[in-house]
Amino acid sequence: MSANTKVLGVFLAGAAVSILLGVYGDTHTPTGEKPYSLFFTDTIQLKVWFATAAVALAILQVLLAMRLYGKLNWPRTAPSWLGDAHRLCGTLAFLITLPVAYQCLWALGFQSTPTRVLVHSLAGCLFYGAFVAKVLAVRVHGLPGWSLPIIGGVVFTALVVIFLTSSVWFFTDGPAGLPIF
Amino acid sequence: MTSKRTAFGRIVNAIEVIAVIAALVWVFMLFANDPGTDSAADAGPPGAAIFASNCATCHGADGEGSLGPQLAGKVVEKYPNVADQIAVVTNGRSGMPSFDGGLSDAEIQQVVEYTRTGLGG
Repeated sequence: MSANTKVLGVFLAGAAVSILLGVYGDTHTPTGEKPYSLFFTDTIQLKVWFATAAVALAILQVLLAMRLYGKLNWPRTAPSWLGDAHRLCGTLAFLITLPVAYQCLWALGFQSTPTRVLVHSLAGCLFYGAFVAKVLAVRVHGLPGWSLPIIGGVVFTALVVIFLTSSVWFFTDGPAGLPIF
Repeated sequence: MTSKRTAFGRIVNAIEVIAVIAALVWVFMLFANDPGTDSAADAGPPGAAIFASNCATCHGADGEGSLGPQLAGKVVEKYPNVADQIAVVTNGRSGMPSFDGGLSDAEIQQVVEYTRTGLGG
């Protein structure tokens, strides 16, 4: 199988996940419920802070990837556990997003208004599709060298867009007086 | 040193397995908990489904308030004239987005009626 065919397969798998999530979010009847809040005052606070933690882990993962690829030269000698730490950051970031996305999909669904929510919905679907593509790109051998950084960049970008259209909006434009935790 | 690195790698592997299981459980829960045709939104008046899709995010599933103010038991008192409430939903106000174009006039009418009667006004 050629490298291009493999890349196409990875891309199609990721696209299928994104589309399926979008279809689910659009056809499923939103419940509007708040299934959990843990120690936060409300589910929205949990989601905002979990998304913030996921972005922080993703930034750390990108920095670790840059060191792995030699784009950063600090520390001078890369520790042997760098690759495992990179994987750990990504896995934890993914785990943290699951309860957030579950509430989004199950309780709210795919929404097209206002624009912020539309962009958030699209980025949410893109994120999981790109994440699946990235996991496959790591596991499938023989892909072109450019594919993994590109797919990883899409995953990171989608997560940042999700963060900007939810957590940052909440922190900056949320109703005054609402407890932040 | 080698055993430590291997141990860390094994821990990361285990966490990855947990993540895969969590993802599968996540997908299962999305479908297992799907309210389908038995949902309150489907069984209730037309405005209930519109409310669940467009308003519950901020005002809470039962209009108890969250990001947006409480509606249940309050909205009739705040807007004795229904036209005033329809204007707010249509045009938006401060943190409240405009639903002009997002919802039809009939849908806005239905959801406003639902907040005034279905949620206990």
